Amino acid sequence: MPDTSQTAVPKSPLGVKKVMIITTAVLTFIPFWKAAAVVLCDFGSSAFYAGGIAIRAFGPAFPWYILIVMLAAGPLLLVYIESCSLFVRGGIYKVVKEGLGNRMAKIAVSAIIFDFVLTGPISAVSAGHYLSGFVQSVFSYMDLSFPVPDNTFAVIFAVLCTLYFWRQNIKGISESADKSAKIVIVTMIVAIVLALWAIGTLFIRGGAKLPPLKPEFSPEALGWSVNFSWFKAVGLLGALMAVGHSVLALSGLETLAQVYREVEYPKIENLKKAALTVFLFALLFTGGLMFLASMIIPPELVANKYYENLLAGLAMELAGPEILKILMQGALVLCGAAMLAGAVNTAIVGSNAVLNRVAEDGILTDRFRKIHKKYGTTSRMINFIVGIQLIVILISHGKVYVLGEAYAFGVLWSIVLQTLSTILLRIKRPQARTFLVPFNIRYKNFSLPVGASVIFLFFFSVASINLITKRVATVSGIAFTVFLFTLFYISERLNAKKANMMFEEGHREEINTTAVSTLDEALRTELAHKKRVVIGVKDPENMYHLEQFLKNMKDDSFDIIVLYAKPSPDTMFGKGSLKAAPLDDKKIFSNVILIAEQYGHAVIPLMVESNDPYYALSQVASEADADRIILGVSGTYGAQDQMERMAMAWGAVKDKKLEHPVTVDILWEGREVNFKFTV
Amino acid sequence: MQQETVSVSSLLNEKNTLLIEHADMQKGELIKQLVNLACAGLSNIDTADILDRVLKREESITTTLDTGLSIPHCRVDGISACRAAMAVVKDGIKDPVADNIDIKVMFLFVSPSNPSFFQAHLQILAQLSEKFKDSFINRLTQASTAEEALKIVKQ
Repeated sequence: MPDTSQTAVPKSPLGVKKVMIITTAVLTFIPFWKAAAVVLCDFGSSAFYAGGIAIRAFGPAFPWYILIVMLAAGPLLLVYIESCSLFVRGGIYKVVKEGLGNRMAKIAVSAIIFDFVLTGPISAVSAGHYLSGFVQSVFSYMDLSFPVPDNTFAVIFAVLCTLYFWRQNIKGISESADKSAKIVIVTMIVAIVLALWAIGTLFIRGGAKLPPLKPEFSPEALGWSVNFSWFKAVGLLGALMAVGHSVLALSGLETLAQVYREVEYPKIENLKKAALTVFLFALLFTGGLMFLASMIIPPELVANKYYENLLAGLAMELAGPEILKILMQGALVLCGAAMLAGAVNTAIVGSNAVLNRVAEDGILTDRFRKIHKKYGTTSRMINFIVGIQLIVILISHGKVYVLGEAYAFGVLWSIVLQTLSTILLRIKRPQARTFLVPFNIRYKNFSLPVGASVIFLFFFSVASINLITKRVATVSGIAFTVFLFTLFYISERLNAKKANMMFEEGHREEINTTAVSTLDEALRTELAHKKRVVIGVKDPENMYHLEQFLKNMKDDSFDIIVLYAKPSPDTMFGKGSLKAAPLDDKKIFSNVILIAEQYGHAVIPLMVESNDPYYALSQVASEADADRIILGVSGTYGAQDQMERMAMAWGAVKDKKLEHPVTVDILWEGREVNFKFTV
Repeated sequence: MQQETVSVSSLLNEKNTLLIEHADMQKGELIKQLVNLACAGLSNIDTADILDRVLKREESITTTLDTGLSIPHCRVDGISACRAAMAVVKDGIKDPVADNIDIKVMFLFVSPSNPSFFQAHLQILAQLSEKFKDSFINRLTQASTAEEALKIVKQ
């Protein structure tokens, strides 16, 4: 870090000595539609492979059951919203830990990581198949007899794709929500064209029939159920079995909980809108296209030719000139590859995030949590996940169906545990929530969560039936979950002493600081609004004033500069104040970011080194042309004395006539002291 | 909320302005001298009590700025207007808290404790620190008499 103290010192030796910009993952917040796009890039990608896997399992009835799964996604989204309303950094680990305890949380995490280690490979291999299918279509159109080894191509592509995102994650480069939004918008346009063309094709050809409702299970799809005479694949049981084989269409829905921390104010309202967007898009895109595919592609081609790239098959079986169909397939493959690649990345990001949550509780040893020297990322966790994903890709030999067979254990059991935890948290944390899964029967002081219980029972039934019918998923899922749970258990034991300490410390954001020469340089590119407020922070445990401001802010009309003036050795407040000063800027800014996330308002974190924090606040406010300065009450001095020092510092800094009044507020619980510097 | 504006120069006169060439005294002693000058003529006020309050306030957040301006102050009952006194110390005296700063000008004031006067109290502090910047303090320390220093303040 360059020493800029010389250039940063103002005329007067008092005040700011050094300016540091804080950079971290989440400093800005996204609107609901971008949040929905991030989720859809993952969740929507399952449309590209879920149908092909389902048809292999139970035949042409697959669109009905994928539709049921898409409909079930709606209530499940409600569960996610409720859990997000309880914990900003919810995630399955936090929710299950609070609801069912540490042990079940570790099981849930193990299960969700099993989901992630399969989602990545299944998406990457599927993208490979779409690409190879497209190459074959082009070759065929050009009369080139150059056979593309489909599975090998898919494996090579999947490995390369996974390695690319492994590198990106090691470097800490995150995919932007803007990119996801672009992908989803283009995909939506392509899907609308495809759907209209498909509907047109149905009209031209006539005699279109809806797919049959009754599933016809393959011997593999019956699993161990053949051993039980009472277990008949008919009626409700058969329907639940079919749903179990289609449930991989839910893959990626949990991204909603991950993206919640980035959603802007008002958070829950925006999350609801994002969830509704996700639900409607998935219903029409995944659900709708499955029906069109089944009604247009001849069943024998679905089962034999297009099961690895069903939507490409839909494009190629449309009525119309070959070249247009290839172009349609190309557009679809482009969107599919982008979405599926996004899902590969999300699987790495998601598993790394979950493992980080576990690590924050001290469950993982230092060896596991070691930070990459150059990039500051948890590279060993990323290596662990990507290593397993690469093994899975190689084992699959590029067969999506094989991966699909193993899938669903993790996603289903993590959903079951999360839904159960959300219900139990109604009892454990009965305080008011900003959102509740609907359909609750109130009796005196007790509320029976009927809606949430029905959702739980549905997914619990499907998960239980899947244990019998999806043998590969059951065996591999249980084996992986036991393996990871054991790893957590041993690691936690080895780390027991440190775990307590880390638990006390709580969450710590990865904070990077970059020194710049002047305040102007630090603020120039950050300021975007006419109104500006500078909020001084010092004590990580005393951020009431910041919280109050963000809580009461109803729009994003302010640039909010959150300033920590780190005491310099020549402090004006005596050497004793240096010892008393909390020098742990990571803890301070971790808490700032947690609060900003909670209310969904973007903040500009700034750290300066100064011998007088009041002077530094005044300098920053003056440089930013702020309208307000807010600070918390000091534990050492009274609010009135603080305000007096603030007045002195402001006068000392002021070097020009004010164009607008500047208000100073010192806030603490239930009280405040204000002062207005008039024009 | 009362927004009374008090001009700092209006608080000073020949009787409450000092010019000290060599201050062989501690900061506390100078404060005591200025308290006596600021409260001179106030029969209903206990100057010892005011001195205690000012010194107690000095134990809290420092009232010294790096320019060499020190603003000891307090809010007291029983007065209806601000009272002040100023000392220009040519050689400066050490501030016991910020030992790297020499106090060149000490502007002591007391203001009514009435909450409605708090805004005016703060305005005085802001005015003083705005007015008494480096160059202004240099001019004051170059004055040869208290009257001359007073004239500079009142300009």
